[in-house]
Order: sequence, then C-alpha cells, then structure tokens
Amino acid sequence: MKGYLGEFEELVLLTIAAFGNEAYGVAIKEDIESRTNRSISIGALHSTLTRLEEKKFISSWLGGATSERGGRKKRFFNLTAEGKTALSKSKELRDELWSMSQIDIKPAHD
Amino acid sequence: MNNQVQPPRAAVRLFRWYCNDALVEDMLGDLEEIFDNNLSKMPRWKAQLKYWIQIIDLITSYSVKKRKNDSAFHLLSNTQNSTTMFKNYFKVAYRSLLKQKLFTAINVIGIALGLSISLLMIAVISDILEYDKFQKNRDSIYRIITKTYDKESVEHWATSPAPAAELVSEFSEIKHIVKMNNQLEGEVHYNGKYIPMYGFFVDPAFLDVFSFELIKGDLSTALSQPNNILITESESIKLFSEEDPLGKVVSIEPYGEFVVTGVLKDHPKKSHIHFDIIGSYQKYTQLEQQQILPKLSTKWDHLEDHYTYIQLKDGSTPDNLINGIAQISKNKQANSPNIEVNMELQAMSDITLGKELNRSLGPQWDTISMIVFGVMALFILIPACFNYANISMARALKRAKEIGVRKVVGGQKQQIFLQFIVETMLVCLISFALSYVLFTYLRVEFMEFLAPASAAGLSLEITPLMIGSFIAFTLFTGFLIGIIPALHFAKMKPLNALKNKLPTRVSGKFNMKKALMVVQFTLSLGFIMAVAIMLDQYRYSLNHKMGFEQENVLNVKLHDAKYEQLKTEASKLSEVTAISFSSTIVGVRSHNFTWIKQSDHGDSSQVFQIFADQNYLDLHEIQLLAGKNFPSEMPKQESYVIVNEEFVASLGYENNNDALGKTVILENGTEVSIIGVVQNFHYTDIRNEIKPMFFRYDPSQFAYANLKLNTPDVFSTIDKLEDEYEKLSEREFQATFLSSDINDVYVWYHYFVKMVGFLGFLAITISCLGLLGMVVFNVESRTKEVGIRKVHGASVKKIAFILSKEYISMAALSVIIAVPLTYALFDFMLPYMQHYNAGVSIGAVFLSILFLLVMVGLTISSQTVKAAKANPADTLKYE
Repeated sequence: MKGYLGEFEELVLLTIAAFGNEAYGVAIKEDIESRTNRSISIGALHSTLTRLEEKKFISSWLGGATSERGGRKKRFFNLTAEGKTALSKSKELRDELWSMSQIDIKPAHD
Repeated sequence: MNNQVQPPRAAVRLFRWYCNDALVEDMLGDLEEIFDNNLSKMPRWKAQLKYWIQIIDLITSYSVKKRKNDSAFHLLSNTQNSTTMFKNYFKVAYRSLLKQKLFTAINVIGIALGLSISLLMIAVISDILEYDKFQKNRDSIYRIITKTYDKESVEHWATSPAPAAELVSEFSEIKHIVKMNNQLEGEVHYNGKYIPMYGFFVDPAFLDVFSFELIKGDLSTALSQPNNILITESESIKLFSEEDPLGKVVSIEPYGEFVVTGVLKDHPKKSHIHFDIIGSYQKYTQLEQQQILPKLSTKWDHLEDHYTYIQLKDGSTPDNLINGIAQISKNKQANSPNIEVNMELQAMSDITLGKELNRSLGPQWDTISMIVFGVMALFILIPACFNYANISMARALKRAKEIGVRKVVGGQKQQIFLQFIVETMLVCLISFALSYVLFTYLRVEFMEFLAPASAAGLSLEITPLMIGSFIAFTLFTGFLIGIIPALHFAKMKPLNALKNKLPTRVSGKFNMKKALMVVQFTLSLGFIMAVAIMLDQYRYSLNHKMGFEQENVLNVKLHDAKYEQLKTEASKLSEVTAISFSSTIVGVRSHNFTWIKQSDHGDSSQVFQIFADQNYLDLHEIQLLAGKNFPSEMPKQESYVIVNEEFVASLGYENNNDALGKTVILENGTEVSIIGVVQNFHYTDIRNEIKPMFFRYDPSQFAYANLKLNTPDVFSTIDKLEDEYEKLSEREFQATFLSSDINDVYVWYHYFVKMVGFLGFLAITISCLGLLGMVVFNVESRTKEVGIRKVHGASVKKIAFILSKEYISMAALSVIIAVPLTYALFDFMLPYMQHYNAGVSIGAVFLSILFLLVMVGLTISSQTVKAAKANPADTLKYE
C-alpha cells in the first residue's frame, strides 16, 4: 500500500467513486460541501486531486468543449484499480477497528 | 443563465500570465462555473471578489505549481535544450545579416562609430577612478583647500596658507599633518650630470601618510636632517647609473647641496602627487630664512605653492574638523583686509574627479566637463541606436512571413524576442570589434589633445578590466537597441504576419523618425560649423599682426652664461645681424606682472613688464612713437622705462609726448622716468587684451638672448652658436625660433579642430547612414508607385524630386535650427577664448550649410535617382 490515505483524500476518492465517469472539479466540490456542510477551497481540492493523481489512485482526462462555463473543457477523474484497493484497505482497517470497539453504533440523526 | 457577466478579466489574465504555458483551462472552467453559480446567489461584486480569492488560492496551490513544472519539462517546451536553440538563433541571425548586406553594413558602421566615443569615455572614467587607489590610507586622507574672495573674483585653490597647518594640527582627530611645498624644482647636479627634476619639500610624516615605498634608506631618519633628499628609483639610475645613491651629495641651484638618504620606488602613474625628488620641509624653512626663497610661509594670503594634507585617526569623522577649519579662517580674517581666505577639507577621492582648482596637482576632471563629455558621447551613440531600431522595424515587413511561420510551428514569444535580441547583440559585437580599432586610434589623438591641459595626463592604458567593461557596455547597448524591435516582432500575430496584413504602425512612427533625423542633422551641422569657425580662428591667430617682427629671430636661453660674453662671441658670427637680451619670450603666454604707483599715496596698478636691453626694440622692429630708446650707457640705478600706448592712456595722458619724463614708482620703491613710448604690440598671446606694459632695464633679469639671423643654412648657424655657447656654460644649449614659439601657442586649435572634426565626422556619417536606411526602405516600398507614375509620363527629375522632397525639407529644417544656435554659442564664447578673434564669418556658416546639403543630397540621390530611372516594366512586375 502506497502511503497513508488522509481523511480529505478518502472523502474525495469516495466522491469520485460515487460520480462514476462524471466526476470533475466543481461537481466534487459541491457534493462534498453539501454532504459535509463545510466549505472547501478550490485550491485545496485541486491540490488534493493532483496529489492523488501523482499517487496513481485516480486518472484524469479532458472532456470535450462545453456550452456553459465559457466553453472551457472539463477535466474528469476516475478511480484506478490502485485507488479502489487503497479505499478498500482503508475500509477494512476501519471495519476491523469498529468491530473491536465497544461503542454502540447509532445512526446519526442530523 | 447570466451569459453577459464575465469573470474579472484582470484576474483571468493574471492567472494565465502566471501559469504561462501550463495547461489550466479546466481550472479556469471550474472557476467560471462556480462564478456563474455564485452570480445567481449573490451580488455581482461578491461573486467577483470570490473569483479573485479563488484565483489567488489556485496560484498559491500545489496543483498549479505542479502543472507549471510539468509544462516546463514538456517535450515542446522552450526551456528545454536551450543551447540548441541558441545555436539556431545564431545561425538565423547570421543568415539574415548576410542576406541584407547593405543594412548590416549600415548598422555595423553606424554603431561602431557611435560606440567609439563611449568607449573613450569609459576608458577615461575608469582611468580617473583608478587614481590614488594604491594609497592605503586613501579614506582617511584629506587635503586642505582654499577659497579666496577679493574685490574682483572668487578663486578656488588646491593650496592652503602655510601657517594654517600649525593651528589645524591641534585638533584631536588628526593623526598626521603633512605640509608640502612644490618649489623643489631645478636641475640636479651630480658628477657633471644635470638632470631636471621636480618635487616637494615635505614634513617627515609624508612617508607615513602616503603609500610611497622607500626601497633604500631608513624610514625613521630619511627626512630627519634639513639637507636630506629622497630620489625615485628611475631618476636615481639616470643620475648615478650603477653607483649606490645613498650618502651621495648632489646640488640643486640655488638651493645648495643635499645628501641622498633614500630611494623611493617609482610611484604608480595614477597618483595625483607626482615627483622625482622629495626634500625636507626644514630645508624650505632654512631657504626662506636665507632669503633664497621669498619669505611667504607666514603669510595667510599667499597661496601659490603650499599644500597641506591631513590623515585622520582611524574611525574619526571629519565633521568637527570642518567646522574648526572654518573657524580658523574666520579668526584670521582680520589680518588680511584685502582678501578673504576660506579653508575647506577635500577628501582624497575628490581630488582627481572634483572641482577645478588653481595650482592643482595631477590631472583634474571637474564634474561639469565629465558631463559635457558624457552628453557628447550620448549625442553620438543615441542616433546610431535609433538608426538601428528604425531600420530593423522598417525591415519588419520583409521578415513578417518568417516570423509568422515560426509562430505557427510553435515559436513562443520569448523565442522570437530572443532571436532578435541575439541578432542585435551580434551586430553590436561586430561593431565593437570595429569600434575598438577606432578607439585605439582615438586614444592616441585624445591624449595629444589633453597633453597641454594636464601635466601628468591620463595614461588610458588598456587593462583587462577596461576591455571587460567595454564588452559589458556593448552588450548592454545591444540589449537596449534590440529591445524595441524585438518586442515589436514578438508581438506580431501569426495570421496577420503570414497574410502580410501588418499593422502599418510604420507611418505613425514616421513623425518620430523624422524628428530624430532633424535632431541628428542639426547636431551634425553644429559640429561642422564649429570646425569651420575654429579653423577660421586658427588661421586668424597665425596671421595676426603681432606688432613686432617674428621672422628669423632665435631666442637662446642664457642659463648661467654671462650675457656680455655671449654677445661678444655671437657677434663674431657673420650670420648674426643683431643681438638683444630680454627676460621673456615675447608674444607667448607669460605672467610677468608687477605693480606700480604714480605717487607715494596713489593706488597701485598692475603692469606687464619685459626686461630688455638697448637693441631690443630695433631687433623686434617695435615702433617708437615718442621719446627715445634706452641710452647706450645706462645708470647703475634703474631709472628709465619705456612704456606702451595703453600705459600712457592708463596714466591719463592724451598725448604720448605728455607722458615723457613723468615718473612712476616701482614695487620696490624705485622712482623711474618714462623716456619713450612704443606702439601697442602683443607682448603675450592674442588671447589677452593689450594692457599697460613697460620695458625695464636690468641685466640681472636677462634670461634670453634674441638673435636676428640672416643665413641660408639655419642648422649650421645653430650648430656654430651651440659651439660658442658651450664655451660659456656647462648647461644644455636651448634655442627656439620666435615664430615657432608663437605658432605653438595656437597649436591647440589644431587638436581642437581635429577632435571636433572627428566628432562632426561621426555625427554626419551616422546621420547619413540613418538617412540612407530610411531612403532605401522608403524607395523600396514605393517601387510600384514610381512605376505607375512613370507609365503616366512623369520624368526622372520629377520622380527623384517627389521621392526626395521630404528629406530635403528635413535638412532645411535642421539648417534653420542649427545656424542661429551655433552662431549664438560661438558669438558668446569666442571673446572668452581669445580676445582678438576672427568672429563668426558668413563664409564659414555658408560653407558648413553647403557641406551638409551636399552630403544629404548625395545620400538621397544615390537611391532616388536609381529608383526613378528604373524601367516601369520591371518594377511593376516586381512582387
């Protein structure tokens, strides 16, 4: 396993996974913002995406010209096999820890 | 959707500029999408503000850094493999220079000429800055200089009153104080050899303060005795050859005998203090007491030969001293009511490059003449630079396709820019090679030009440092010249360039070009006129009637020969038709003034004096208007003088005869009577107005024998005279012809005309080259127009006129500007330069204008006539 997966990195990876082939900068940003109720800076997001790409957890490609956003292309992201492995390793670790923990799991209400 | 509102353009531009070649389109897209979303949620200003924040956020983020980094090492990046690109730039530059041989030649010659004066200036500046560098205590050495005011004028002196040193030395900041007197001058005699040497009487601290190295002798006792003397190594070899100089006794008349107690290493050339021998200040004091030298070292208003140098203690500042010295001056003021003496401190670094001072040591460059020199250099260089920029911009049309293709295959702005800068640098370096050759020639001429002005002179030696600064200057110039055309080319839009649809800014800039051309021609005409006017002055000065006969008069320096003996010996020669004796050579610059009074209580007035014998007036054919010559038997006591007309006028007599028999009182109190009046003549050179002068008779003052010769063979006569002279004196026989002495006075005109002539040559050549470039370009771009005009029946003359007329009007405009300005300048300056001058003649002005117009005409017609004669059938086909 390559390096340690940070909390924000994991969040971004999971979001990309949720979008399938439609994950691009603004979509990821807005999705995370709405789910976590926190504001993400665009610089931090792009930096994280860049790092994840360097770690080969995601791959990216440029889409075609668009009609909105000044006709500018979108860069789409997708999980790689390594990215999927990293996510599942991370989940295994958590599941293991959760199973050993002595907290009652209650679904969050808010 | 709010399509009309765009994100702030400045922010987009900033981002693009920052990211350079990096691929960031998707980021901008993201930002714009967020911006669009924000617009529907919040006021526009807030959305824009957010956009700005995000741009900054991105710029500082890792993602952009990474992408920039990636792009920099991309396969097509311009930062990769730059040496290959540079090779390519050189190759392209070389080819394009070869392709346009005419323009390359115009540029290279123009810049080479332009650079030459700047190189000279750099050489002079670096030479000046080298002065006194070898002095280890340079930063703590100061000189006391003096400013004097009398009723008539303010004078600045490098010297200071001798008694000041004692008072100044009481200040606690002072480590050493050195009094120096430069009257130690004369022929040093040892064992039959007489060698003229020059130096100072100094305090012993001299050797501690200044870094003049003693190579033989004891530092502590070298100047302890009054009759000690130090000699430089090279002079010691001249005088003593192989012998050990230490302890040898030499004599200098009239100072007496000295014992050599040390040999000093020859001081570096770049020292403002220059000497062959160094004596002790105690000796000077003795000589004063013995009245061999005038007793002046106690006088506060005597400022001729006395210098005071101070070395401050380490770490102390001169501030307190400056006030103290000013205070001393003030206290001493009461003693000398006629003249106000103010002393100041001058740092050693300000001595060579400082203000101009009377009695200064070493060469001196005041800031103003440095600025004038600098402006001259720029006046020559800048037109050459503009010519280059003009010509290469004009060539842009021809090279547009090349640049278009370069851009289409991926040439970046910087690459195009660099290519043109490299091309310019190449032109400049070639020019530099040419310019350097010119400089080596100029250097010699310039030194000759300077020689009479400064005794020690600048050496202008070529050092590696100097060459380095030359090349640095050349490259800097190259960059400055190249930057405008290079930017112009780099900005070209590839599509327009390929379609030949260039923004025809050329026509817009034409007025600027024309204005520059007019300035260049104005300047050129100014130089030409200066040369013509100065040549007039030179001719005038050489032919001016001096009021006495100067042909065939040989002046022989007497030295210690007895004048009566020389007279008897010389009279034996048949070639010598007459002999007289005098104290000075007439008609050349001299300062032989004295003060006279009409009565005991009257004011004294300044009078020029010549000591002469009875034959002087006849031999020089000076006309006696009234009274008589000195009688053949003169009384022992000086009692007669012969005066000139001005003298009579200054005494207030209208008629020459009225002055006869009247008496005046000389400086030493003797009363003498006027026995004759001579016509005014130029007793000194014609730079000065003729003022009152008189002839006195005192054989002890005779320094020259004036021999009138009548001989077909001058050289053998001089040889015979030399033989006779050698019987009477051990000293060297020195003789010069009066006419050549007088001509020598005006020889500076020759150098001046040469120098200004050269500047004029540069100015006009550069202007004509620039003009040629402009005309060639203009004619080329109007080829078709000319063809069509010819087809419609225009004559060659008419077409040549149409093509030339704008240039002719430019030349005419520069004549209108230059003539009155130059005329006014010289009309103002000439009387200061020379009281009796030829003025500005219409002939000189007319000839200068004619010369300029001919040069301009030749330049223009060389192109226009050819174009006008061309067969329209060929030119209209030309594509």
